[in-house]
Amino acid sequence: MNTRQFLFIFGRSPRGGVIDREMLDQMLTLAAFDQAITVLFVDEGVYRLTRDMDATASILKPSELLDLLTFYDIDSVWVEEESLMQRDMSLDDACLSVRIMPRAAVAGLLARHDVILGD
Amino acid sequence: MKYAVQINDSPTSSGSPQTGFQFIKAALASGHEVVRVFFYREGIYNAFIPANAAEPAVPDWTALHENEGIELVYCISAAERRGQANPCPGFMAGGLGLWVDACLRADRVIVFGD
Repeated sequence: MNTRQFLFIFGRSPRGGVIDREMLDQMLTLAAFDQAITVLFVDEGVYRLTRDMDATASILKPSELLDLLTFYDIDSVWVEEESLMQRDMSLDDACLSVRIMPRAAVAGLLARHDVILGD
Repeated sequence: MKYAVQINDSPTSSGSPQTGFQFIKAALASGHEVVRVFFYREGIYNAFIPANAAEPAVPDWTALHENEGIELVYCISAAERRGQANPCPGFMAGGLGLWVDACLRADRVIVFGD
């Protein structure tokens, strides 16, 4: 099977419920078919990674989300620096593997991917 | 150019399915190919709400399938979660694997709605 470079952009606050679940289902199905997947957290999406995230039963904690990504061999995970700074956010301790990218580099990241999907 | 199209909104709560429908018709008229239309999330309602005079924003997907042979696949899990079972003519139930397949066969992937 041929492969494509997929970029998933989490740009919104977690909404919980089926919408969250279906976003992850789509990403993990692509991973299960051995597609190359990169994940980028920007804007409100950074709330998924923050220490004080108010996780309800239907929303994954940062550690759970990152465990899931690791389990599916998704190791290219980025967060946009300005999105964090503007919200005065600090990453959860579980986010050691998440790399920080300045906004100026995001266009280059987009250009390196064949398919871009959002949340 | 070959396109894979994903539709993610209900036709009665958003204009995005109609926008996607018009995009597909314009792409076909320009000689492009549509590999598959995949209905996901709230978009699965497109498979269960037939075109009707009272709701002109609801696209006539069945006619698109019958006239152009475009493959219409709705996500069976998303439909079951929403309690939907009897699709309009022309729609086929399928899994996300068919969406992956469409992405790999297409030159471009385009998503309508959220």
